[in-house]
Amino acid sequence: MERMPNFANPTQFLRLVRVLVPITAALTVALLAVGLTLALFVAPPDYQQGETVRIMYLHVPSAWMAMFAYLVMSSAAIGTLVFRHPLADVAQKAAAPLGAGFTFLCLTTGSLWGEPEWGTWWVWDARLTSVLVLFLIYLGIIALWQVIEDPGKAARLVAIFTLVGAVNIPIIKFSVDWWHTLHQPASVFRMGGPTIAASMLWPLLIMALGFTTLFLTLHMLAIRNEIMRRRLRRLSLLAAEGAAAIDIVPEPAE
Amino acid sequence: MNLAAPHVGYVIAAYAIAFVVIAAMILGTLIDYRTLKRNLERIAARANNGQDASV
Repeated sequence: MERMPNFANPTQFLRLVRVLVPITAALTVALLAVGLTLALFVAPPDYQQGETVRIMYLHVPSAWMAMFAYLVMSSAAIGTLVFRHPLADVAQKAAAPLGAGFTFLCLTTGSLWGEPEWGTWWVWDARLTSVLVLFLIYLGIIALWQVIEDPGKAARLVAIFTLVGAVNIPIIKFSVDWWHTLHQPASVFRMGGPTIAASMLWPLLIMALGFTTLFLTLHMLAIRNEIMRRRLRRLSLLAAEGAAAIDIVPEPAE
Repeated sequence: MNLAAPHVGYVIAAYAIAFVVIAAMILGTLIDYRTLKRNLERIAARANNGQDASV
């Protein structure tokens, strides 16, 4: 146990990132290459939707990542408020723009699927509305980080806001069961197993894995950036106070 | 994929938007890193120059 590295230490964590990022990045490229080939050229068109079904291979993984990023942020929020883990708020801040990106992708691809299949770009359906609320929550969290200058104070406020917003995740997941919605019910993660044909399920799962490794890669890189941003802020403050020399000049020997 | 099928334009648009959004997330992260690295190097160099001057 003594030899186990302490990843709460930012320097140790950055060392881990340097090892892991090339692996997850290579996995992402490989999974997305295979997934896109299967999704675009191997998977059959749907008997009802035709070629439009290929939008599902982007839409569903984006939706899963939108919720997964929020679960990561909620765990980090608990880490900030309960365990006061030094990297928890860094991880939380780093995940927000990525979550917003995947939610935006989910909403736009869903809209592009809805127009030909439902005859409308948008309906105020419980599933669509709750995902839009998730997107607005992400934007709110990003804005909160921007407007509060002290990272410690921002971390606590954002953590509380994130945990309050977490109530939306089960609403998104179960909205199709709790209300009559235009959006179809779950067809992969459901009691009784997937209802989707294997020829479509495999490309979907490979694309979802590719999106997951993409998120993990970008999240690690964004955490590294945030650690650097805080170092830069600390050094700038020290320099502004004329105390930069304290950090750099070795103390004279007694 | 049959490019002559109806509604295929929606599929192409969805993949094009996905490409742009994912590329923006990747580029945003990499550009942020380069900017931060440059600024950290600049502030370190300034601090070292100050130290040299004081010696």
